[in-house]
Amino acid sequence: MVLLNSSAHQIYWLGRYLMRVKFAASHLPFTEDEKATKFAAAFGLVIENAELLNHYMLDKKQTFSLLNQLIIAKDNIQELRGILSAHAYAELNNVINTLQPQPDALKKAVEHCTQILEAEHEDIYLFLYLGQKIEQFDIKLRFGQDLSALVSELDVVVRQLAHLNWENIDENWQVLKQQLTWDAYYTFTQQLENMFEG
Amino acid sequence: MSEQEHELHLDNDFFIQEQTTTALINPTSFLEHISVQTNLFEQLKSQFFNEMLDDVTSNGAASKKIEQWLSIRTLDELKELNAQAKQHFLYQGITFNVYGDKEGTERTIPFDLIPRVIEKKQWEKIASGCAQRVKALNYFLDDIYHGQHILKEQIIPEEQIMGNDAFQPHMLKHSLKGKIYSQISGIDIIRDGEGEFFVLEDNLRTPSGVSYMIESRNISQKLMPELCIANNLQGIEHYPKLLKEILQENSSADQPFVVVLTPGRFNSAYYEHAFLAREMDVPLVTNRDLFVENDQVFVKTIRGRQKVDVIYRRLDDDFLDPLAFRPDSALGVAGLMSAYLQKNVVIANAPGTGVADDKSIYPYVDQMIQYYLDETPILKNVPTYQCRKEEHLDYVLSNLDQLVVKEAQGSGGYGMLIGPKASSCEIDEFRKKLIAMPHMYIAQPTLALSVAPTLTTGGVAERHIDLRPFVLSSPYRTEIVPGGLTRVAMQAGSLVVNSSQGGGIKDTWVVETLHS
Repeated sequence: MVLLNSSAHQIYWLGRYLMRVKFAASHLPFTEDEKATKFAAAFGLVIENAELLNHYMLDKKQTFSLLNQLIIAKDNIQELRGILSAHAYAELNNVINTLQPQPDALKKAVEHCTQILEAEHEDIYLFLYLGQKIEQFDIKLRFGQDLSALVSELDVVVRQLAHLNWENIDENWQVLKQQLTWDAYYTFTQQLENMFEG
Repeated sequence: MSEQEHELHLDNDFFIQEQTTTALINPTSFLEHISVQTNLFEQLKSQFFNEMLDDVTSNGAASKKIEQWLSIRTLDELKELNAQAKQHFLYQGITFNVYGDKEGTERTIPFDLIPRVIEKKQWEKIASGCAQRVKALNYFLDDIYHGQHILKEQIIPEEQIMGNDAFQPHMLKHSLKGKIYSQISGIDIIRDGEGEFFVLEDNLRTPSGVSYMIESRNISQKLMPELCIANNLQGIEHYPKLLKEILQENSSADQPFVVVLTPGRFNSAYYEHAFLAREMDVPLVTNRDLFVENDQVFVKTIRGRQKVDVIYRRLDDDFLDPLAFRPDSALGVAGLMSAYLQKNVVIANAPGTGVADDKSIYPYVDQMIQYYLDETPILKNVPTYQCRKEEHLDYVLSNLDQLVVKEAQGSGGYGMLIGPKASSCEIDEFRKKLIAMPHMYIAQPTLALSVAPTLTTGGVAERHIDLRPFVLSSPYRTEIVPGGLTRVAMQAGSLVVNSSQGGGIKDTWVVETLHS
């Protein structure tokens, strides 16, 4: 299999969206307004009511709702149609088409999608994993959580990418490891985007 | 833009009387009524040539097996199988978007459970006729882009070629390996009331539908495995492998690297593009994956640039390269034509092949076969009147109410007159058009297209069909997988097999008759 940069890019973002949905779904339903407000604020949303945030997250009409994130993930899957096995494409398509707007259903759907993708070619898995880990990095940075374990995991991925002649990203990765700031994070992820452009 | 050949459309050329005979399948249980049910297809006798009943060259063994298989099932059981087929298509994501559908609803193409059967002997005639035709068309393309002997000898009027929108001046004096311009050709074939085969149209640009052909077989084998085995079907599953080999054989590179170029996922044939790329194990690319440097084409991969030797393109000439064709093309690759003309990459099918499948050129294909191959055409053309010729125009104007008139450059059934169905106002309007611009029109007689038994909500009924075999050409060989795509007009009396207008598909079984 020859993996195109554009396909790797789609897989990377698919990994990010799936992780984002998994994370947010794991917090649903919110029962306390204070926790909901903090959670929403971390994503730049001003929603100060737990029930409202629960509703927002599962509302297809809202651009940043979890359901819409999965619809975007479906677009990524469509773009990958030439590279995924027929079985994987059909399963992924089916999972998303039959999705129910409930937190547990969302979590299961994301887990199922991830399992399907993990069984595909190792190159697909590498970029899926990269996307998942970068999204986790983003989330942990947002919530001020400990990043040390994640940094170790990403270290391994960056080394694997170097074998694909992606060693250019190493310098900014070293900066990010030392600084753990938004600036360093954006510089690193922007460089990833440039690598995907080729 | 549209992929010209994706619209699975049988031009609504041939007027027929609508009829609605339906054979009754046992609504409850077959076993008590077997003697009544075994003449299922006989109940469909009508004025049309029925593929399963009226072919005297066949001993009907395969048709009989299908008839018996149907007869031991209730209508509900058969409907359930058709529903399973639909579910299979939905699950596999074998869907298409209809252009202009605001809802963006994904539709599945209707699949009819009852296969169309072609005896091997008949198939051999179709295959050799298609191969002969494509060979002549490739010679013709090479000739008009080089010596233009057929024009100089006035077999085809020069103005019809040089003034044709699909004629591609870039291709003049550009030689192709083995003179192959159309590596992938789809030949649309119909049968008339006598069962005679006619070529309705040649598709040499980006013929589509081959994925439906393969999926039809997959679903047949899933839903009626015993019947498939019993009929010893000729295989078609090797088509993607053959396609890849043929594409590579058109390149002079060692171990040629092939890609499929798609306009993207919004194209109605995207499923097919992805299917073929996956099955051939080659990358499916859009223009943003490709770039040209020093007249070489490269694709961007995670392991660096990879030189591309063959591009199986699924977009029209106009969009291939904004530097050579439409400057506003957002789908093309800048510099592609320059790389192509330097012979650093093969584009399949070649730019400029469209001039050979134009409706105004179609009437000359018989002469091309005689001229280039010194052979008699194996498959006939539908008789065609060229309104640019005075004597033809006189005849057409005198018989407008009996003829089908089409725009020479038209497609998709637009801008045409179906004389027997037209009002006097419509006929008068066309008369004016013909007199004003006769060179823009052709006319054909009305034929009674063949029918095949098809499962409907009320039982088995006859529906009109056509056939599109796919011809693969390299400098070394011509390959045609046995069968092709059978398209079926699902509405009673309708001739429209266009997928966006409810047309459907059948599996096409080429079977070897075992005479007892």
